[in-house]
Amino acid sequence: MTEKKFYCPTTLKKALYFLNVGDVTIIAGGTDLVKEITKKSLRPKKILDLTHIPELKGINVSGDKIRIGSMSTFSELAANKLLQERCRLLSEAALSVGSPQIRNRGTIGGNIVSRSPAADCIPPLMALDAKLHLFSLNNNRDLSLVEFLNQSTELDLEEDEIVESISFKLPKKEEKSVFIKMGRRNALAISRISMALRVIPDQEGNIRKACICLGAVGLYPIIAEEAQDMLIGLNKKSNLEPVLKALSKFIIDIIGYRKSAPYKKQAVKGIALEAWDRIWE
Amino acid sequence: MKYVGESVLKEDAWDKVAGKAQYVEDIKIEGMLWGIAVRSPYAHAIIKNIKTEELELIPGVHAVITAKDIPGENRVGPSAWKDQPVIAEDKVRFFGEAVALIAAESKEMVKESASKVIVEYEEIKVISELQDALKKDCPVVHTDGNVFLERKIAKGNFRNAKKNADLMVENIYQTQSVDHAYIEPDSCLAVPQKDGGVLVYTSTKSVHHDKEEISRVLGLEPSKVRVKAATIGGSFGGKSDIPLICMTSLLAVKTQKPVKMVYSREEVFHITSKRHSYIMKYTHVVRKDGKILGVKVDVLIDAGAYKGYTPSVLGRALIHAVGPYNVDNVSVCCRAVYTNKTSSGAMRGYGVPQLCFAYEAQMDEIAQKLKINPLQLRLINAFKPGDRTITGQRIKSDIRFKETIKKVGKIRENSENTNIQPSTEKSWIKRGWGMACCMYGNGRTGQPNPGIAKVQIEDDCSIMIYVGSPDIGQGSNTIFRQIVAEILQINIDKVNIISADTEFTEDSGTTSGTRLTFIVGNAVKIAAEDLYKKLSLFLNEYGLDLPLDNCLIDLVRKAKEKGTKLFGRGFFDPPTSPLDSKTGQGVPYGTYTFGTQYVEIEVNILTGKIKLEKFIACYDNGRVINPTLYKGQVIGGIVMGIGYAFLEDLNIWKGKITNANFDSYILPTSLDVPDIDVNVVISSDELGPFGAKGIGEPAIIPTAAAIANAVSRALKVRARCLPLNLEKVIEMTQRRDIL
Repeated sequence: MTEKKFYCPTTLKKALYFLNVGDVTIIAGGTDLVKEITKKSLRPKKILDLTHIPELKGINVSGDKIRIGSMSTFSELAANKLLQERCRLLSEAALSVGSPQIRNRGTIGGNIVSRSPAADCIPPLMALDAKLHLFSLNNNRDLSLVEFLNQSTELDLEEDEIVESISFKLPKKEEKSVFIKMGRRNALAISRISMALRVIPDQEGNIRKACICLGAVGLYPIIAEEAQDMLIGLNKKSNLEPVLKALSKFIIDIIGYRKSAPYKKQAVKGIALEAWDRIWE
Repeated sequence: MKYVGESVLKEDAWDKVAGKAQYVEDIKIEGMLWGIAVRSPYAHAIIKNIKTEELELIPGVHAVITAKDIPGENRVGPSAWKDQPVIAEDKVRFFGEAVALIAAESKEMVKESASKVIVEYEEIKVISELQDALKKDCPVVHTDGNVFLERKIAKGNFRNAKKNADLMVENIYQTQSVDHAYIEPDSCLAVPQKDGGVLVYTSTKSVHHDKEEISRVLGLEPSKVRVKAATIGGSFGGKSDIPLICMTSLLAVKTQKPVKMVYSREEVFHITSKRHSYIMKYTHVVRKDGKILGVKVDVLIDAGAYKGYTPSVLGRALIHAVGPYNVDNVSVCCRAVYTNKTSSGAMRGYGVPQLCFAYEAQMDEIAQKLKINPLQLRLINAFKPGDRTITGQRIKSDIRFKETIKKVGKIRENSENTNIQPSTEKSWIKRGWGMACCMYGNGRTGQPNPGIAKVQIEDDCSIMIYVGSPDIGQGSNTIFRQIVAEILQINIDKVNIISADTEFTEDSGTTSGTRLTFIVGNAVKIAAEDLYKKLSLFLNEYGLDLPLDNCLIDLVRKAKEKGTKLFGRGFFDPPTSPLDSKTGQGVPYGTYTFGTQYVEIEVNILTGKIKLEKFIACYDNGRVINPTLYKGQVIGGIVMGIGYAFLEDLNIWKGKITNANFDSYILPTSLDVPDIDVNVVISSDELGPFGAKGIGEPAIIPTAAAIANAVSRALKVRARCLPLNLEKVIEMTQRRDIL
């Protein structure tokens, strides 16, 4: 049998040093990786565990920014009071992931790096225009989540880089947001389609800013620009029908060729209506 | 009564909760080897060559076995038809069929070594779909045609009925194949014995049958094979995979070391049996007052690659095709077809939930077309005492089927939350309700299937029940203890049971066909009564007095002095007769369980999401021996039916299941289960022990049918195909055949 190595550093610096050795597979929560190893679709020789590095943990505010350590678990995100109050979309997305066991292990960093089209935390983070902070032994750099997901090779994660944290601007108090996920069952479900919605209403209750990000409708979550612009000026009592039509058309435009398109062009309306309902609660 | 009718706690409950129960996987023996099967990566292929030489040289590998090394007969099967090889010989017929076996010193080593067996295959076109198997240019799975069995049953004259009818409703329905999804995978531990035989621990519903299969394949005297069931982590009609127990035994005898094999979850999906998928054509001819004059049914059954249970499932399907309704003119034809999939087998409901989905959709359609209340339509046609079934069997005077429909109706009327009106606030949310009824014959179809039991007073002053049929988790052992404690009038804590060990118990049949309470329970009762009679004589002779609790110590001492064993034996075979091969007439079952389920739902017509609001279930189950176990069976059946209705579906590509684990094979979780109101009607079966009947399988039969009817009502479009997953619901909303 071939020799396998498992690194378990307690500081970020040591982790970066190990990573520099090359040919190292990072394990965060392991909710995807362990499955791959079991199935033998991945046979890593050197594994680097980030679980015991305090620098990669924590959710804190400095100025108008929120920083989330990449090794924060979904359970930690879901339980965070600040996120519950000001970032409902992210808090709800974290709570919608898998089961309690998976939420206790799975991390936000892992969710991003594994790039699953159905990753629940990505639509809210995209709607929040999040940035990734990448660390390597010799260099630190920032990358927007959108750029990262676009997978243009130059911007992609290098072999010696770790996602240290994710940050975004703290949403204003008047902002309302929500995350809706459609799965086949009510728990432990993979998203068939999901939506993160942010709106800022003015004092009259008319929307002056809006963002819609859709999940599980292509290779990676995507902002529905036309539909979100149509939300401007609408209020609780407005007719949503034109927005629904725009969303449906958007689905056809991006995944019309897929077998799932006839379903998703309908379902997007359903989750939009639910999101609309809940945002005014 | 002191114990019958009480919710006595299952004797294994605490062990299971505390993790002390010993499943096969938990049993470890010094020097034990691990076995594995090398499996075909093709669903249909000729085996050209197998090279195992390289493997035999690896230290730690103790045995490699291929088909040619099998000493006995390389054919197994759960019924009279033995057509499945334990190890494939010249051809593989489903994905994952075993081509060689290996035993090695560790789990990891045996897995690693499996990849070193080199097999040369020549692929043949795979038959994945039932319809494809019938095409003229289709290759054959075996040497004869793919349709291997056709059976018919008729009563009255359907053609005449058609002439006199006011309405004809004719439709085609289709159901999917699903997995049992028991938590414990199939597993087996075989220990070689000094006499050349083998002791086998396995997770099984049928120790005595397993023993026969092992002895035939290994070419051993049956007396040299002992099979013992360990704690069983779910069966639902599955277990044990017969090739598995034979493979483990082959390896143990060859290596002369204990060998354990435990299937991975993927193996359970790929290898073990599944629920049959059906294509059904139903034609109902009806009078305008709602009386069904005739029914014609054609069923195509996907058997998979081997006969397995199919002939027997088909036999039950013939009898249950029309459902619990009194119809004078019936014509049923069932055909079974081979495909390149793992063999379809026994699964809770045994071929009936599929039919129920179809005939109950027909009932709703008839009700709607004739503008009759669906509940009323069912009452008009429901079996009542004195009616004759499709096989001419008389419905006994104790049957209370109509009462189950009426009771469900009453609960629904009285319920405050009943909201079957369409929701006005959200136009995209539709509401609906649905109901479905079923009947289910207790026991095996038209065959002798006796229950046999022994009840003995042991030297330690306990009462021991000996029963061959395993308790697969449903609680049959508890039911038997309750029956014995009741008859002997003794504290139930003194009543123990040994079940499912071929060394100590007689063959009492398999745990299947909802037969344990009704048939084996009767045998246990008769054994206890026999013992009681003997005891009375014995006690008289020695001047001892009942109750047994007080005189047990003296009794055992006296019996020892006299050198006698105090025991009673019970035998019960339900009064059945085989069906006439031409007319299909006969008495297939000793009794039938009847029941009705009702569900209210909400459907989102944009997302396709079905929300179950509440279930009401009511059965004519005779006298209920253990209310908690009864309730558990009904709730469990409904939960399983929920999965069947809109979640579970095996995705098959080129004969290979592509969702072979629980991440992509979607089962319901507790959050998908609504409130379930479980009821019974007061009844007592004239044949059942203390009037009891079985509930295990009837519990699941109407569930998917009721849900499908509720979805159809909500969408105003008839569901013709299971499962009603998100995509299918959206497809339905776009269909034009609005009701």
